[in-house]
Amino acid sequence: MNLDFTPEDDLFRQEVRAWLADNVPREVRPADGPDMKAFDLAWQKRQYDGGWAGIAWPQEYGGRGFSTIQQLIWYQEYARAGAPYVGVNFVGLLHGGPTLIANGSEEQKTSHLPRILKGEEVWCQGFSEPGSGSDLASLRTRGEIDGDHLVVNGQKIWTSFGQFADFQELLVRTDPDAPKHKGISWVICDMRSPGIRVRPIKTIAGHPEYCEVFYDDVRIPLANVVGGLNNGWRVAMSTLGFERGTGFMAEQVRLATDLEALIATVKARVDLARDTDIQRRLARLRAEVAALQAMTYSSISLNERRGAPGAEASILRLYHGLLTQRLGRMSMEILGAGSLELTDPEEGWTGPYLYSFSRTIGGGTAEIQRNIIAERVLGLPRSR
Amino acid sequence: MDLMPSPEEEQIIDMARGLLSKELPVDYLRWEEGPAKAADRALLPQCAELGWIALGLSEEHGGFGFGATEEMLLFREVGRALVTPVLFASVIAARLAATLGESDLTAAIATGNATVSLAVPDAGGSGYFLIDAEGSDRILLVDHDSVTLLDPSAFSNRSAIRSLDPTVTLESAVLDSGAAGLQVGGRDAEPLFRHISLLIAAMLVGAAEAVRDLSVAHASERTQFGQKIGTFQAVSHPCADMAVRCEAALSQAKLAAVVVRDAGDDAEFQVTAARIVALDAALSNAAAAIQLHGGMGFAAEYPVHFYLKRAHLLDQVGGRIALQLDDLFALNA
Repeated sequence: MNLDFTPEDDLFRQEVRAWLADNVPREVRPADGPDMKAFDLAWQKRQYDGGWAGIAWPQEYGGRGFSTIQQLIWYQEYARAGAPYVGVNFVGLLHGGPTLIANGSEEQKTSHLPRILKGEEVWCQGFSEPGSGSDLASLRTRGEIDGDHLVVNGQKIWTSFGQFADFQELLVRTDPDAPKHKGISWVICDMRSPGIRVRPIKTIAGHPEYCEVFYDDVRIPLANVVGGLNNGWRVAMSTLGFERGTGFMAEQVRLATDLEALIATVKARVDLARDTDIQRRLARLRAEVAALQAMTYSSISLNERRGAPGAEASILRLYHGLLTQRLGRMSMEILGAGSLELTDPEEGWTGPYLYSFSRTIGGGTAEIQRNIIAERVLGLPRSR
Repeated sequence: MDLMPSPEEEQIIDMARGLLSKELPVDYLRWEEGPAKAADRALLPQCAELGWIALGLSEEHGGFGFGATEEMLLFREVGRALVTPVLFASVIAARLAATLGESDLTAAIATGNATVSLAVPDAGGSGYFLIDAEGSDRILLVDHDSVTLLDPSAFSNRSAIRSLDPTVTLESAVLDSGAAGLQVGGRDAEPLFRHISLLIAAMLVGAAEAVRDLSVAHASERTQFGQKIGTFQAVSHPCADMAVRCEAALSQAKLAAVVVRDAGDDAEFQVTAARIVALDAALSNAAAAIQLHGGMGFAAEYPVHFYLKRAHLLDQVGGRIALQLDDLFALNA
């Protein structure tokens, strides 16, 4: 076991640090609307032009072809530099894109991956439905074959950035007679297709990120099916593996930065100098955030040997979600009356605190993660 | 960067696990005639011969020149097997003696010729508790900020008391004023305390993993309401939480071991964090395991409670949890 970075890695880190110091936007990221989208895409394009988009993506699709370890270095330096939240590029960069790399056809990869990296294409996710949350495989949005097209009817919910997206990773039922996991397809849906209607959902954090999407005879070319017709469940699981594992690397690094800021606040506060209760609880969080980083290192080490994230990604995701919520609640206690002012979800403390409740719901609830850990890590008998 | 054990490190794990599961199975029968008669003491010479006491010492001190990573992985297995704390005390005492240039004593401890037991101060009073100390040649007194290796004659008024942890003997004793021994304290003691905390964290990780495994095995076998109880989420989810705590504690212990071995600037931060998360994993997992075993978990014949009690004992060595938390809060990141 070692924590040594190679000379190439160290050089890489220096280059990343220097570039970020010169290029991280100084203006505040707009919290909503077209200005936010424009900001996120401009920042993405700047990273691409600087040669820093798609660190671990293959070179033939515009990426840099570096290792997961170098990707981790990028995120560490990104957090250290206080660079902006990935925003509307989240789905494309952190799970749609990786899913295409693993499962897409050559045509699908060449037409989408470079555009995602250049900040020219926004993606959104269309997995959950009003009646299919934790039981995702029960989804009912239909995709009926008509010649060389699928005709889609139904409804999706919790679609991140649906109002800004150009494309969607969409799960539809293409064989209603097959067992529920075997009749699903993962398709690329053009969000400008006729018959699509998007309605934003207001959340408890005042966050504009999520939408409902309605499909009324939406025609999608069969060529947009990824990983084969009726093979969508397997493809979706690979998507969720990315979302639960490496997709949260940046936020894990960010959590440590936030906790240290909170500890520095408490150390500077005269009224908390003798509050050993708060100090000890912060110390415990500090130990656990250190452990989260160690778990990330372990997980990357395992991935380097095995090539893809496994079920342990659920352990990381669950631990991170619960830790983020505890940090949020502690920040409220420490802020005192200052906690009554609501901030944006990526700014200050109260917005992130409210947003933290989504961390044990989105991408599979804490309960679903525990099912996965029980069955696939511990080998306990299936619970359903 | 690689936090998965190397093939050489895997060999140490396999060797230790193989020997300990065969010679020191965690079964109440091992301690049935009292902890002093348990097979642990008889196995110690073999442990010494295998180099377990001198594993991390440099070759000039008669050691094997392995690093803190190998020691951590070994002590994870020691924790899983609930080996007498005499082994831990011997490793720390050999390191202390080597640091102070006492080469004859170092060699005597490393070869198992001089046995060392552990003593901890009573937090509230002026007395001490001696652990598995009958017939030991030396006593290692581990306080929060100093470590002292003493002759047993330094302690008087020794009297056997009932032990919370039934796998060890416990005595109360008074330390004679003016008793002298080999001591390090203050800043000089920091490297030794990193080792103490690292090995305690490692043993707690082993305990947390052991009760997780017992619980998973029980939930996979036990049938109620016509089904394996592991199919109920009220049972499987607490098992999943145990797995999460194990992964956190093991990962942090591995990282801390590497930083200690490489003498990184953040060694104190990382080992203290390792100790804190490992204690929580051991205590929380043992409590959950007792509950999941139902009546069996409350029966002395079933081994889960041994791990709970050992975790409480280890917490008292070198500064209990509240002091560890205060230390970690005070550090700069």
